[in-house]
Amino acid sequence: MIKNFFKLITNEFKLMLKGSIFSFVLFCLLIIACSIFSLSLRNESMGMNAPLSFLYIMIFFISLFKVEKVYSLDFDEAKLQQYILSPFSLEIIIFVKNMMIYINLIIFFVIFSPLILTILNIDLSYLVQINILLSLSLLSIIFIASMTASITISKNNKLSLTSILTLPLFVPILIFSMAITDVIDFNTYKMYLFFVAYFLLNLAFSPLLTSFALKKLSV
Amino acid sequence: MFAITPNTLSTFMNSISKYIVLLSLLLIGIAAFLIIFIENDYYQGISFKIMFIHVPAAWLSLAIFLAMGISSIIGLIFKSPTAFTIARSLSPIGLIMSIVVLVTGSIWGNLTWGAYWVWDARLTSMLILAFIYLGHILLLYSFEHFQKADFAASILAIIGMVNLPIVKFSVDWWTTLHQGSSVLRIGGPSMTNDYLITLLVSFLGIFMLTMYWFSNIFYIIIEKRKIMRSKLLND
Amino acid sequence: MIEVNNLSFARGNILIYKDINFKISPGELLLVSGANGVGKTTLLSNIVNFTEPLEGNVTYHGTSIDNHIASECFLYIGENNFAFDTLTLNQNIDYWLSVHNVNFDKSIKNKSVNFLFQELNLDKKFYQLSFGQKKKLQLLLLMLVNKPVWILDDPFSGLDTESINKISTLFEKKLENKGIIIIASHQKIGLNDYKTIQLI
Repeated sequence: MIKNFFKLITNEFKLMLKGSIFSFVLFCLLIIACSIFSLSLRNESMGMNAPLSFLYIMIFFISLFKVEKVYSLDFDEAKLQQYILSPFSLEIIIFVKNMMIYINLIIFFVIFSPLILTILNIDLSYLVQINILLSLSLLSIIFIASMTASITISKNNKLSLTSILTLPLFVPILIFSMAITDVIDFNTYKMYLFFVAYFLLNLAFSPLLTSFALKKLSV
Repeated sequence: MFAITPNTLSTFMNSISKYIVLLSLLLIGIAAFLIIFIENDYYQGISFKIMFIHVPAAWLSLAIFLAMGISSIIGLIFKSPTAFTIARSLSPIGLIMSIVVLVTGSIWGNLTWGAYWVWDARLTSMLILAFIYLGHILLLYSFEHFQKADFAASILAIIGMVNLPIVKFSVDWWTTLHQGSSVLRIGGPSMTNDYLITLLVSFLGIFMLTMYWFSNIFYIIIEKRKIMRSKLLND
Repeated sequence: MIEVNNLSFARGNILIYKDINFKISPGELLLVSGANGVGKTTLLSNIVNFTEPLEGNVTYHGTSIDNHIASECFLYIGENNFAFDTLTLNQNIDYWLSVHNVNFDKSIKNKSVNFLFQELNLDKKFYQLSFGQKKKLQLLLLMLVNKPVWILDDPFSGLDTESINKISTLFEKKLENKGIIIIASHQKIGLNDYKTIQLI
């Protein structure tokens, strides 16, 4: 069982690598959007908050698109039936899939982050802190998005519905990170703990609700 | 208790709804009388009277979400169609209540703060609550089979119920402009008695009005289902 | 032994079937037949507990079927294909075997691939296959995953006669080993004796 679990993880990793072209396209769109943003506001002197929150909103949408895409491809009816009948419980498979989406997105973000920060006129000395901030918040973002993606998986007008369901739940993440960036030196380690706590909360009930919704709504 | 079928509940609601609406009209009339003849606040002038709508609506919008979440949990655990139907008929009322809160609050804010909208803790969390209500309603009406819609919407209600305190706490970190609680607080209410009585009467009136709405919506949903079923059987 | 008592199912407000009763003991094959839209697939998914019936119950060796029993004893192969378009055949086989928690060595895999496909380049992408080959790739799981009950939804669609014969020999072997097979299909099966149930 353990051996096969690790095999499953490596197989999921391969599958994730195949899907990374889509993430690449999304990040190219992100760069274009960022350059339009700073081009249109080139005469304003902005602090860090405006470009960072723009970056955050774009990251929300990128992870929504990505999660929605992966869920609609990997949990269509035939595949879901096999997952339900597998000896691994659906919750574990969902957890592995979510983590793979996370790894995929975070790798792309780490690669692109110097470029993105330069475009948005943010000082590159904050590079490490912003990377840590986003890598912590992306965990919760993906787990929340997976819940709502599973609710709407059998619908045709998925994405619009998913975003209206999910975006209100992203507000705490945005507020936590704005609270961190308000303290400009990022020295508040206590604040980072809130991300971890929020992630643990989501981890506790997100795979359960996701698998419940998948079983009830889409088979 | 969860063995009550939707049909019996709906006929019961329909039979008492007349009395509820009479009671609510009476209470609202008394409240209106009290509001008109109450003394103006020294600092805020006449504009503070909007509070007697604003505060009950705010309480109700939170209470309705709580009731929705609890009935969704009951519905999922006991598979009771009654609980699902209760949640389904509560969400439009909750949306209307939160919109009332936002509108009256921003009118009041314009009169006293000088701005319709401020990015403040209470305002933001109420806005998010309105969006979650909206998502709940959209989800309910985007499925063809109402059983599936009920399942999906109840999962959203549970997610929202778990997340809402967190949204509220996170938002509370911002230095808040909104005044603190004055009724339900440690050490007793900080208002004078006549304000408190007016507030409670108007709260009861609006509460009865929402009960009337609720029973009507519930009745309509059940009747629609009956018509659909008889159509299906005749075809 | 699978026992179905008084099973009825409704989707939304529409009754699909009602009062279905049958029994299958080990070593027997059941063919579910009927016109399109009478609920063959729904009946199968009811037996595997993907969907909950309106009334009645399904038991396996006396206990009613839940997700745990279903995942231990049942192998379900549906109409739609579950393979990933982007992976190669080899990767696909590896993936689904690891999902089903099967340990195997390469020789067994190659043997069974040769039995079904004769010669096939396993490094092809999945979408380059023809419809029948895709179907056969699904049926490959029958040979590699060892579970006592097979539940197959229209396994013969798109297959040539030679492959149908091969699958039939697989069925015979399974029945000799006291397995249970439930098939929903329009076609007749090339076996000597089997039960049929006609849905109306």
